Amino acid sequence: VVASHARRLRLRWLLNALEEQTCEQAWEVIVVHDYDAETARRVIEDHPLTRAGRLSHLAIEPGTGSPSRQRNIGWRAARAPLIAFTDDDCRPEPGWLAGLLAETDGAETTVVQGRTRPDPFERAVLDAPHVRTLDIDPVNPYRQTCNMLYPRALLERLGGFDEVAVSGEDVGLSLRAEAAGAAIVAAPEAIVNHAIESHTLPGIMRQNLKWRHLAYLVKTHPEFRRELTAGLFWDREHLLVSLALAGLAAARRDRRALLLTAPFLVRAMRRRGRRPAALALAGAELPGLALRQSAEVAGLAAGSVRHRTVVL
Amino acid sequence: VSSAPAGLRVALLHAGGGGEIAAQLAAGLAALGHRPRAIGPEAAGAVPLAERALAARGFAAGLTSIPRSLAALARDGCDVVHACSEIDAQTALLWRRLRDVPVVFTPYVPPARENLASRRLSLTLATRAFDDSDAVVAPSSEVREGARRWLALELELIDPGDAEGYAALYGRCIEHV
Repeated sequence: VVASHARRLRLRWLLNALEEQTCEQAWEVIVVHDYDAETARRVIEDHPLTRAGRLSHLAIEPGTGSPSRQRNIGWRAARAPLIAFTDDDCRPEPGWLAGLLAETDGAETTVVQGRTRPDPFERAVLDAPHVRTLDIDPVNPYRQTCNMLYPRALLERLGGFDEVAVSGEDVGLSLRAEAAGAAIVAAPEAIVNHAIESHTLPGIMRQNLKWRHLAYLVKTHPEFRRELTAGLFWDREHLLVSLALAGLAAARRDRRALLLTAPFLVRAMRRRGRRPAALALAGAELPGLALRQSAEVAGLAAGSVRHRTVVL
Repeated sequence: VSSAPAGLRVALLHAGGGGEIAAQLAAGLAALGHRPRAIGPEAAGAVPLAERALAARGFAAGLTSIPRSLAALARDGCDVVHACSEIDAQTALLWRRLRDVPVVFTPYVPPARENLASRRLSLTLATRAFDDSDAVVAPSSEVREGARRWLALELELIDPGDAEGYAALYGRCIEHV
């Protein structure tokens, strides 16, 4: 099942990668999207997988979709007892589906997470200052739906993805699955290559605004707090930038508070390596990085107020 | 039979590659009485130092050729810009914005997953070149097949040796601009 929005070309590339799957068992692909009819015809209906009877699509009204809603529509339309999810910015390796299936045991409580890595074809993009990609060594705490397999019976029992969740819906589903007795097992041979997308600073700040809704995840699944840094921060970077911001604020009264910025600065300066050129580059990127991470923390603070639980 | 106006001034941009296509087409168009002008790396190539700096930050190759290509277009003017690479198509599209001149794009290499998003801006450049040009033509069956598979596009195939076919295409584009 694939939910797609505003990525028609990457969707096409995903379909091409699915066409090359080596899995010998019967399988089908369902795409739930909001593209216009002409785009759907060119990208999906004219694809060889459609001609082979393996690909179908469901169009929803533009502006009404969300990953949760689209995935729910997709798995409910599927006929198979096992539902594999990937995303429209991913390129599964030919053995992906077979790799996921190899870890299933027929039990209705076995969920499988595959390995996701930044797409080797796009590795040069990592040189950009603001990039978005995923690097997942299963099993990780976030159980991203770019590479997961759920038994359909379990999805039915859980009611699928929480459509109220704007972000973190994939973690939420896996937490409910575990609470229902499911085990999440790793499939390191089921590899998905994830796009590496470069953004402008305003662009990535705008995109990361959605993470403010992660407070909803922690509100509805308090047990997830154990995965947070110090039980409060989404990740280590957020802890360090929060310390730095606190240090800057307190420095007006006591300049020694500036020492609180040191952990953030050291980590930020070393992110490109330790050679002089790498340090110079990291220094040039430092203001943008600080701004981006501060905005993420501010967004989460706003989300914390909205959802009445603190996550930074 | 060419429906293009006689003596059409065609700028054949190949600063980003596709010199063979440009040369073959230039010879054919000249034989038909048109006035083709090939603008390649020698006149509009990338600036090595700036190119290295951009490459180190992961940018697509050839971006620094755009200002020089624009200058070359400004020098002599043209009735049609024919771009042979995605970078050249960016120049051509900029020129169209300035002078309202039609853009024909003939990618000299087949689109492939390996390079469509391999660097910063690569995907944006490819999308603009294929979506925004007035006409996109495949010069070979390999390019046509690559466009079909990776871009979900059905391209008309015109061999670079078919200057009459291209001249007719220019004529149609001029009528529509």
